[in-house]
Amino acid sequence: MKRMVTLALVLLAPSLALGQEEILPSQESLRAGPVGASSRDWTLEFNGGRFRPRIDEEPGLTGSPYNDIFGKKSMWLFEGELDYKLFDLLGPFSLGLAGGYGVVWGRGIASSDGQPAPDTTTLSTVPLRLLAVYRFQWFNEAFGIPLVPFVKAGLAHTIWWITNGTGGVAGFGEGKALGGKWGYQLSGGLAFELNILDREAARDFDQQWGVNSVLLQVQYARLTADNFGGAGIDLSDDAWLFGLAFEF
Amino acid sequence: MNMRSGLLAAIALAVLVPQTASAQTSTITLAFVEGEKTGFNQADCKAKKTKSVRYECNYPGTEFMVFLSSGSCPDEPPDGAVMVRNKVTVGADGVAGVAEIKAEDVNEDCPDDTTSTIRLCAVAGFKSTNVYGGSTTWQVYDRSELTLTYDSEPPSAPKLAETVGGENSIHLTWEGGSDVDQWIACYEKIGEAPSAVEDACGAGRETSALEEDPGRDYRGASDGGGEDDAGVEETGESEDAGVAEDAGETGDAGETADAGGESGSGTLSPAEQLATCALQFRFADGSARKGAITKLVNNQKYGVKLFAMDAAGNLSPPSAALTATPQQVYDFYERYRCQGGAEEGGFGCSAGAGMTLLPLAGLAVLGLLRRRDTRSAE
Repeated sequence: MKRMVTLALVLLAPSLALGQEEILPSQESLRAGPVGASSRDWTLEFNGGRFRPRIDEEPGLTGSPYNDIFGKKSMWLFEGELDYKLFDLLGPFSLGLAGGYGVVWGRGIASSDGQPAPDTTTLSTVPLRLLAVYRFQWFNEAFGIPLVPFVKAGLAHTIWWITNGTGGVAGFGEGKALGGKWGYQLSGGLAFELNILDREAARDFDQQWGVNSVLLQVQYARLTADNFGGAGIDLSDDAWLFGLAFEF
Repeated sequence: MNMRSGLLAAIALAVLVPQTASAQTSTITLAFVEGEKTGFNQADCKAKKTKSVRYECNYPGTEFMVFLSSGSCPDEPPDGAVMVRNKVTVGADGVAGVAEIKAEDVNEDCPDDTTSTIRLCAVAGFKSTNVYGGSTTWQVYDRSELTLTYDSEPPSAPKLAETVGGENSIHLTWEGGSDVDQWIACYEKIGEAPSAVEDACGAGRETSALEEDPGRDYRGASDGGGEDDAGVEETGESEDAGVAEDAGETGDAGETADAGGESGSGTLSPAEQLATCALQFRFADGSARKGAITKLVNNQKYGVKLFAMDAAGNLSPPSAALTATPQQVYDFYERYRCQGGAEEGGFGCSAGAGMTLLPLAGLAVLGLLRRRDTRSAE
């Protein structure tokens, strides 16, 4: 696990350093002493998971198109999120922006026999979210328990498109398989602070790059993209997301 | 005495040469001019073609020369060697130029089924004089070499394993040798063009079929990643591209054409057979074993055969021909719409809730930021 922490620190340090004015330890960080005691205004997260949009549950459908084309496959979703702390209330209350990419591949269906054809078809999504995030750090601060429960809620806009066998955006009559759907995200999760596994490496990481702590986290999220119950394709689902968070 | 003088000479070289050359980025470079292939094929040889090679030396104070050698590069050109650049003293600005290497220098007789190589050698060095004995020896300081080939050995004929019709396309799977630079599919229509009109959901969609435009550029779409190569221009109308007509059937996949690639072409060389092929599609990745011919007409039967071409431009005999018929394929969106899906795309301006929530969210953000600023001031 120590190796994992070190690896994570090494891999992600350069990206975290971008945009910082200096890589030397801040005065605040040097004064702070104990690991994680310096200010933590930002949190950067990388999350991933799988979800299966509820396309086949759309009212009026006579079949199950998602299942016909993609079978039991779920979409892969990867996303990044940047949160900015607004105030503390037994933990930071932050405002975050998240963006991701999800995709699933399948085979088209031949008109001649209804069997899978060699042509590929894909469904892709780019979910964008404005989130309110609260991390309850009291357990950690009061008792040193490295667990941080958190909740998120926010507005989502999911851009989606479908490609056909030529790789272009699919169409049907006047309709183009490209659009955006409004929705929301509600999620709750638990983060485990990895600093406890190697405090020395964590201190170095803080002093070198200003990253106070690294957290391994899991969350269960309701991601909706159906124009709040409107007509059309429903890209919503509940999903488990796993990832890493960096506080700095 | 000799050992001592040799040692002195070596020390002198070791000390002096770096001093004269160290101010430069000291290199000897040999490279084919961009776009040149590394070898000559038989046709190049017979046509007495040349290849352009760029040479450069940045060792001021040394003597530099470029020559051809049939074996590994020696320190000095052997007797009778072809001198590409005679020995010259390298000045402060170095020496650079472009040499034209003739095919006949690599293999004079242009034989069949032969592979031979020759090396282009660039050498920089010094004449070292024995301070005691007065003898002079040639000391090489640096060198570079480039291999040129004569290759008249064609790749083996590929084997088309499968042809499957997709939407306006035929997907090919094949087997073939490893010494292939690109694959060339030769295809032609079999029978009349379809008059049927397809339906969006099984009956009635306006056909998306594309008539081949004789002037267009066909581009490879190899699944193996060879999508970056321009297609080939057509080579003229073909009376017989080696695919026997078997009109009337549709929906087949991988049916063997009656005459394969040899119909009426038994006496033609592969290059001549390809030249008579009106419709061609190239797959630029020689390591690919599958790819798709695109922009075809749905429900039109095609015969397809495949050639392999190596880096020297040698063309294999064609594979046996197979037939396939492109067909309508429902992508996910078509499937969804055909099954009653209401989504027509667009970015949800009608989504009143979302458009209302967005400004509200913006106001909330501003309020929270203001609160943070207020608390910070306190």
